[in-house]
Amino acid sequence: MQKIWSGTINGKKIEKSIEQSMTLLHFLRDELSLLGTKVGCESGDCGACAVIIDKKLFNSCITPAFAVAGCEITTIEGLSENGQLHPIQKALLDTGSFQCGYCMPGMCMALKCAMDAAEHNLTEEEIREAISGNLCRCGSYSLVVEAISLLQEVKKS
Amino acid sequence: MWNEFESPQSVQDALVILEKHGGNARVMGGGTDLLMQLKSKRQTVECLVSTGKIASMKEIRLEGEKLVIGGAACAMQVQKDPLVRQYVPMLAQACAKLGAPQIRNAATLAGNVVTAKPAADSAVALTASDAVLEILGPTPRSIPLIDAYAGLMQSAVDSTKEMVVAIEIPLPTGRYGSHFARIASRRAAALPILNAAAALCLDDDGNITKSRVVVGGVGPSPQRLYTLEDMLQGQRGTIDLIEQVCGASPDHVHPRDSIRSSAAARKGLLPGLLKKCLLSSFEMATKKEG
Amino acid sequence: MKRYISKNQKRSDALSKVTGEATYTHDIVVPGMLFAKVLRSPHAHARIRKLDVSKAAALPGVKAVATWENTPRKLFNSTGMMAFLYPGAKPAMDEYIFDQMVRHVGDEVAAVAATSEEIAAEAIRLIEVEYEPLPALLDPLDALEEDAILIHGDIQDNNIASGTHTIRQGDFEKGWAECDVTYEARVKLPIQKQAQLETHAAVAEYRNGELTVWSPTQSVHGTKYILAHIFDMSAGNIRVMNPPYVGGAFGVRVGFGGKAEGIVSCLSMLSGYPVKLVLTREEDFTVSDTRHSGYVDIKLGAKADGRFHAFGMNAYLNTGAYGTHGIEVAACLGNMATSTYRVPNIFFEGASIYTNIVPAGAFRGFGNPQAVFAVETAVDALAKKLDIDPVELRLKNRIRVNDEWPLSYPCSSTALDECIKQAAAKIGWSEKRGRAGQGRFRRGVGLGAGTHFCGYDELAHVSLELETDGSLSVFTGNSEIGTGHITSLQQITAESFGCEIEQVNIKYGDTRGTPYDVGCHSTRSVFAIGNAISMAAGELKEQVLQYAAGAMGCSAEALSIESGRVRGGPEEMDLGQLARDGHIHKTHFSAEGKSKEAVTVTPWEAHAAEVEVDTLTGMVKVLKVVAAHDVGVAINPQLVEGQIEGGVVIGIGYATREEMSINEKGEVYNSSYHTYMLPTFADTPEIEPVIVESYEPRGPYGAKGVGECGLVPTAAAIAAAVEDATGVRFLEIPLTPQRVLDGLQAACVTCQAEKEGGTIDVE
Repeated sequence: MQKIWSGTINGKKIEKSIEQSMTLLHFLRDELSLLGTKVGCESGDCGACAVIIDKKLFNSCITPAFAVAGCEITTIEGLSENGQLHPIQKALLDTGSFQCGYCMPGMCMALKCAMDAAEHNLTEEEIREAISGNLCRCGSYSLVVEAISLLQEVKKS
Repeated sequence: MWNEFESPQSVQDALVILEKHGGNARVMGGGTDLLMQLKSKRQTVECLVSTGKIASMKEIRLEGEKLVIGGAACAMQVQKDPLVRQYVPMLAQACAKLGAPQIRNAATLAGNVVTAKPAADSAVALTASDAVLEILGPTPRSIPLIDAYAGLMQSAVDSTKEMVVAIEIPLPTGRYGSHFARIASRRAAALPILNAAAALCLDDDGNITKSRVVVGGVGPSPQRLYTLEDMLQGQRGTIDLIEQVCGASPDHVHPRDSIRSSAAARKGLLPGLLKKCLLSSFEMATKKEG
Repeated sequence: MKRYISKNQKRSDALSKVTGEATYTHDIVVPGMLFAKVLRSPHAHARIRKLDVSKAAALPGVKAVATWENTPRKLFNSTGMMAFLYPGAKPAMDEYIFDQMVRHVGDEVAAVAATSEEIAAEAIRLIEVEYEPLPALLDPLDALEEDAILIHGDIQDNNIASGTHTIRQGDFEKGWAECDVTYEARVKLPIQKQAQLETHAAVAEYRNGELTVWSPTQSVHGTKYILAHIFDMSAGNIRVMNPPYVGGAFGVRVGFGGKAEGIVSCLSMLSGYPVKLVLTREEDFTVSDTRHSGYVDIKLGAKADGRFHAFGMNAYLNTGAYGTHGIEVAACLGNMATSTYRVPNIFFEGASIYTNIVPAGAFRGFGNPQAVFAVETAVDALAKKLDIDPVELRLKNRIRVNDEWPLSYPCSSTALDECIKQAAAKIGWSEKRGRAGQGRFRRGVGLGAGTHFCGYDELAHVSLELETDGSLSVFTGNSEIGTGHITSLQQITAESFGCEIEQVNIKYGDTRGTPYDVGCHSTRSVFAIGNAISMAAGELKEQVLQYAAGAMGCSAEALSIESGRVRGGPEEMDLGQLARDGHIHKTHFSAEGKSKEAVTVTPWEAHAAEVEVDTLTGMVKVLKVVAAHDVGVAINPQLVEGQIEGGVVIGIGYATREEMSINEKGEVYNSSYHTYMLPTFADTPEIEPVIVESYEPRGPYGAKGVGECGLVPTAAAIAAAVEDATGVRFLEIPLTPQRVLDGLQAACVTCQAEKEGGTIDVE
């Protein structure tokens, strides 16, 4: 059964009639063609589908779309502004902190969420905690830490 | 899965929707377990009724001698709440161990209890806190958490008709300490092999006026080890006593073999786990002033 | 001084991947596309007595139903092994798209294409099947028994997939009798799962007599050939493409994955529409190829002075219901087991054996991790018996350049000794070895060493074209599966030709317009394709300089290409200008790089691990792994380190956590990331990758490869460290807490810990 979904996605007001049975993940991908958020497991275990909702991190695969109607949602597509990479994206790019790249969108959102919420530079332990729900089978974890540590060094100076 | 999705803004509205669907709707907290259960059972409900927009159910507050945690409060909220950390630290610890940040942002304590997993971390800690579920629906009632399980993976709460609007925890009195710990095969996002929560209250002379010892992973629901509590009750709190009581623990549990761990292994691990919980609780309690 | 070699050039796919713009097969949308679902067998072994799809076909929205009755009855092998093999091997041609027999839980029975996934799933539920269950085999040793049921009885009279690999050198029996010390044991290896983040998927469109398939396959040309064979189509009318990115592979898709490419092709042909199939995570776990589990029996004997003298090995690999890479995995196991150390007398026999479980195929290492686990266990055992330090014993016996060994190609370079020394030094071997103590927490260090191969006698072929704007296009049939080697190939191109790297575009992952290539697997891509590229670039440079010399009236010898310009003549020429000048009226600048002969070279690796074992809980905590790798010259050191680290993480999983459990009905227990214990970041210790360079004369700029090597000796090193910590050598992995506790208890190590007590809390 369809209903009008309204909310804000990547800064844009969205209103669309969709099936109430949709998860946020499929709403983003199949209805809005925002393909950057990835399908990894559809059971909330891998974080490939992670997005930011009202400044908090959620797995969109186990979030019904209508559970977050009226919310402010940010996906990987909303990270860069006016074609400029977000500092987190630039840091990961510069350090080469990924291989197949499939976990990257979810990883970026997890990092952004943690860094925005923190009032201080994240310690290595805190970075680990921030991405503890993001699986990377290619094993790029330590490079992610390196990238963020470097980014925070730059911010400090 | 589900056909309709409602996000009522009050408990009353939620109950009306449940009634309207006559048993074919279901309450949803964060959905982190519920959605997967529906998927694996190939079940479709007519309507999911989310508690996510019911503001009153997201509050954590003191009410007289009770700490009241709204049924829609998520694990992350509970983990960080200053009242929880002050009065029931083991609950904050348990919530912090749940899944990963994005799971903790969604999973509600009420949801964790109602999905009736045998060893949900927060349920173990809540049992040790003497938590009581406030249930509204056709038969409004309060039930202690330990009575919330009707069998393996079966809740005493019927989510098609009623909802857990709050979890009430009596504020501990005296010198109180608590601790939650778990053993899993991996640091993050893993089902526990064994978990436990313990709490101790001491009087000014250092005698144990109250204790709670709860274990998950040795039965269909969190198990309160009454015999061990009896062994502690009224005794002078000492490290030796605690070690003795923990040493006796394997005789009072009846776990089954599972793919993650054998029954014998769980019994073998139990004393060490309980020691961690009881010794930490004891340390916390002795530091408090009467 | 090389401009682009040994440089950490930024990845060419970096921008796409950090912005989320990168396209994977899951993201492919074709107008009019239908969605497919597959009906899978609930039985491990059964005959299909009756199959009624009428209700499914009648469901509104269903456009095609495929079963054994309306799909090609053509036996194939779903892996690249059908398309390319090492000399002497025979592919196991044992699969149909759909058959009247099902041979593992999850085996494909039928498939539906419909206008939505929900309708397709509903249709699947409406298909009525009557099965006649048959006895099922789960263990490869049972499958070798005289009276064992035949799993492919219609095509052969035994349960061995594609043959037995044998190695004979010297005289094993005689040599064994001459040994002063011997060791023999059986090791048991688990099923490990690639569990790559992008589940397998495929999209097919059959239109105008042409078949187009999008897929995350590691071998586009291999897949094309398999499809041509199945559908009896001319290969030139089939196009297979990566979209271009692949969300991890690790061997799960060298060819088809879960038969998806074949299934969507059938459905597209039947329906007349494009069709997409995306495997759920549960399907990916339970039906796509795994690592081979099995038993390896090893016998190693030495003389009193420590020289290895006799080596015997039998490998019984469980290939599950279909042969896939069959004998190749057993061959890799045997070949790698016998080419790390000098041993004059060798006996090896190994095979991939059919059972009724999920098929095993290729997974990073391809039999080598299994081999090294067995071999290094034996080497450490002999070190103990001989009272020689395990590091010294390995250094004494390691293969040197041009040593006699059973392989068909020579050992042309090795820095294994340096790898071993550095790994040992950096883990703190002499300070930490033998210092476990008697407490509850015990630490130890261990070492594992091994080798691999960069491709196996496979040719490479690329074509290069100077575009009209002066940029350089390289066409290769290889795929980018995440390793980043495409960037390394760009570096090689720019260096060999003399242009700016920004002017180089590598076109890959598409059978159209690229010459045949076996694909991204086998640790071959930088080596084989790099060689082909530098060959082609050299020839192209020659063409350009000859032309420029003619245009300027000077000698070509004086000229060179630097930074995209022809220099050294009376004037400088811009490559773009030169190309435009030539292309329309005078000449076209393009060149082929085709290997003149199939060449294989050997990378080497040694891992040292430090662990801490909690003897009360059985938890093995890996504290640090030093991974020293001889990769030849590292074209891009950062990418090489990434490959090493990524491999080590998987190796740690293999050693301590990862195991697919199959029950007595043949059902896979681990069907999600919830139940399959991959190392998360929280479980990843300090990993120190060490690049040890040697110069491989037959590699591009001295390079070899590294892709699979990162996990080859890890499990062996960890098991060795656990032995140093506890005195117990485990012959079975993974070292889960339960397995370790049982082993420690049997050796009475726990008794001590229990007396001591202590608190337990795993953070």
